[in-house]
Amino acid sequence: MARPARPRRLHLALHAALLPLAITALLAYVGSVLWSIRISFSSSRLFPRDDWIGFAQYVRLFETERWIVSLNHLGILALVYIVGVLVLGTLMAIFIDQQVRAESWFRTIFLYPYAMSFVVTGLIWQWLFNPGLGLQNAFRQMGWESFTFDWTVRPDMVLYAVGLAMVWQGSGTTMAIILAALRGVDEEQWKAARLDGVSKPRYYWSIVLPQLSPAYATAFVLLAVALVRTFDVVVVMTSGGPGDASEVPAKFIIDHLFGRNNIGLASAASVVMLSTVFAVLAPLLYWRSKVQARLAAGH
Amino acid sequence: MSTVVPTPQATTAPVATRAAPRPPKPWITPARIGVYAFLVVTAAFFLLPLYVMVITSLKTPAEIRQAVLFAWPASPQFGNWAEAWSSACIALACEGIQGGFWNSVRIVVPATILSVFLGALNGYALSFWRSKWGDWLFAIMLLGAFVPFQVMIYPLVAWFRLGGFYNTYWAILVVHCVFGMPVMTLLFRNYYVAVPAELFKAARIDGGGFWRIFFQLMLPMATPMLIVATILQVTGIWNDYLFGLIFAGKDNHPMTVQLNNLVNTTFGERRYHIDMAATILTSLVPLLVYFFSGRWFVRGIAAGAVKG
Amino acid sequence: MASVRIDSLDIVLGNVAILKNLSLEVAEGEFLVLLGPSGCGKSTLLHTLAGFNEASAGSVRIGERDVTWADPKDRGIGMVFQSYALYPTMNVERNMSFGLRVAGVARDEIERRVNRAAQMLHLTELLKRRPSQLSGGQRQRVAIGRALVRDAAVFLFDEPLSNLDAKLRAELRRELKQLHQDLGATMIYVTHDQVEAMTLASRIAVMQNGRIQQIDTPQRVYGTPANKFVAGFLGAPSMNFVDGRLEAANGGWRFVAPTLQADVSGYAFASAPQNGQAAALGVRPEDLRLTAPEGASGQAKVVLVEPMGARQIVWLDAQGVSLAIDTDAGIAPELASVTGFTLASQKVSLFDAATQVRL
Repeated sequence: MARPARPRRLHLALHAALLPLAITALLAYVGSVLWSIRISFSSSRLFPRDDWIGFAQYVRLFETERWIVSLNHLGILALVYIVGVLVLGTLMAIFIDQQVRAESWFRTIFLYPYAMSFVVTGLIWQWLFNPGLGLQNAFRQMGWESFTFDWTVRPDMVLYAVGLAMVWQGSGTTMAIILAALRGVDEEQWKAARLDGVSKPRYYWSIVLPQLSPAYATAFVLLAVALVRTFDVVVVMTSGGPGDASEVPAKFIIDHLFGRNNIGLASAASVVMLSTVFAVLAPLLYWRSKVQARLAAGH
Repeated sequence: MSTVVPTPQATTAPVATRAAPRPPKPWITPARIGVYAFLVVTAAFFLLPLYVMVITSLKTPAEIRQAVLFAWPASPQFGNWAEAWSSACIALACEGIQGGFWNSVRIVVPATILSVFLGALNGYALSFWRSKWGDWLFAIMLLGAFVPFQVMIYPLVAWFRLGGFYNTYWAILVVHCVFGMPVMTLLFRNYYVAVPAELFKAARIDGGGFWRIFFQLMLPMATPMLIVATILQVTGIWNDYLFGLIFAGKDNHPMTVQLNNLVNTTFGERRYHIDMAATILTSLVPLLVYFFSGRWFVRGIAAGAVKG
Repeated sequence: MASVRIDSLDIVLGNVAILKNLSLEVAEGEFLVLLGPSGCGKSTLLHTLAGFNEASAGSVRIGERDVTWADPKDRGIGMVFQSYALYPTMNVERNMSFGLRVAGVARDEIERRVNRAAQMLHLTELLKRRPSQLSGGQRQRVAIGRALVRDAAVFLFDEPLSNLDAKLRAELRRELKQLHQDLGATMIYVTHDQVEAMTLASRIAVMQNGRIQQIDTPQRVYGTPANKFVAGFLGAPSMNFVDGRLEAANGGWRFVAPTLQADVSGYAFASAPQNGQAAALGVRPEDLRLTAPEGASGQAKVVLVEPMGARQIVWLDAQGVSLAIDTDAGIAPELASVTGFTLASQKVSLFDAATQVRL
């Protein structure tokens, strides 16, 4: 099965064309990941040092309260953001799929937050959460005396404020994914279900949503990747505050890379993030491809 | 001459009384109301911030102090927008946010063109000119899409410093290409995989070489994907904050960075009306792209979401 | 089991009137096939029977009950869909029992019904499998099983075999016929395949453009079609048509055309024809015979021969009119030779040239 050798000229062209890809993949991606890992095993502070101190940075990392706190916050945000977006996005998709009038108007409204920068989102919601000038005051003026919406100034609630802003921004895209998947479901299943006496909510819950597991896996992956990158919205909306109350890993890392001049520690932290991401995503993606193959065979 | 031949063994049931009257079938059922109620409330949730942003930007400082959040301004102060554009103070300079706008334009246009082009080229090379190491590179790139960027920042900074172009315009361009490459390559590769191989073979028989087939056949053919990719990149790059902050250098800070500086690092009294005006100005470009691109935007999201 | 009665049904979808003033009666235990080309309204009629479309006028009765406005689940029907519409994430057993579970039927009753249906359909070993692990034929049986467990009065089939390959189709056709014999249930079956219709039906309703053209036993629809459309739709290759005139002759009638002449005195006319009336003669390929040119009903040139194993189709060209003859494979007609053909005059059909209706 020997393939005819390609002419020299083409060989050259292909190589030239793929050069940017090669440089990016090998140098920028693989290279930087490897180098960060290397640095995490050193005692580098402002500049890289060539020594080898084993896992000392990692130990130090997990003794740093701010890091632990940021991990906890990421966990809470994961719940609020991922679950919130999945639920809201699913509801939006299902309701839009009910042959409503002005469907495209609703879709346009639901999706536009995606076009906004996280900076813009953070600023608007910061404004809305302002106790004296934002929603709290507005509703109190209208008569709802006890309405409180000052989460950004309260350490115990600020994370939920950030979560809310993120849900506001991200639900539309998840809705788009779920809606596209919904429309791929065989219409006649609803007829069969009607005949079986199944109510519409039960139909969605027992029959449709289980079929959508690849779409949910996709949405989950995208959300998880976005979550780990959470930086802009926190910096702009709360600067990690009040105090440490809305600190997140990405901000911790950037702060230590630049402001605090501790690239060793920061690299250890980013390697931890990297491993977590891959540990969670790898089995998920593998599972998703299996499910997709199985469902595809079912048609 | 009837065409319906009555069946001989039909059971002649007694002629039924007139069919039961149609039960009142209200068009508006509780379920229907519930659906619309949910959609309207949710739409209000999404529109609220935009509405507040717009009217706040058009108010006078006095009106803002009155703090009637939802009230429409007595007379819309479009001058606020002009002030945010050209004379608002960011740190020590008081030239408004227009500098940031032009910086963003200077970054977005070439970065988009370059990253989309590279994505198309990669997609083309990987789908039609299969090679072992091409497949490996693609696999690496796919994994790379999941790598949290934090793990790549410092090495990139160090290398740019080495090359002497850290904190310059070129740095930010390269960065956007690097971080955009996985998604762009994936988009185009998936697109080209759906193109029949026969088309490509016919072009080769006609004597086309690598570049000719690309520029004269495959690139024009991918127009829908070019549009989608462009929309994704324009929106994504314009809205970027972190890379602009770290890599572009003070002179090239994009609008998002300048916006944050304007709002969050002012001394003295916060001028919310100007802040909101600047926020609107910053979101204008991607919002317009969104509204005018309609279906393409949705297609972009769907396409970008289909991984591997 | 129940009878079905449809009275003066009007169905409008969008702005198009699909069915107008359609009436139909199906006896208990009957296997009625709705046969017709795409777009004739047969599927729409079936779906309206099931309750998925609303009729704008008319009524539907199943058994004693008027179900015109009833929900699909309250009509006492079971339905098998064209794409089977099985629930992909549930195994066979749960697919069949889902409706019963929703209705709150007792668990042992559910088990009894599912097992009984599985036995009838040879599904017992497959109960734990998922649809993606089944073949097309097995999926179809599961779809039938799902309808069976409902203990329905009437079973509706929406082109259930059209997604299967030819061999499987034939096999499942036989199984369906056996099933009908075993159950004795009332079945209404939609298809565009006339072979299915002929083999399965106790009666066939041929539809076109939202109207029932003829409804009768397969033999009669085949042998005495009510109009030219029905005549041409059934039978493969389809019936041959020749245009000509009816002339009175010797106290009887003759059909006269440039290409053939035949004595049709024995034909059962619905009403007395007029001398010189324009008519079309229809004769099936198997009712024509190749003979010597002398004394034949007509003469024509052989243009094509299609061998079909034990039989063959011989295509003739009679002055521009194409005729097909279904004959024994023993005779070997020469291409481009002129041959004669006779028809069995008691097997012909005559149609009015203008209205296309059977004379």
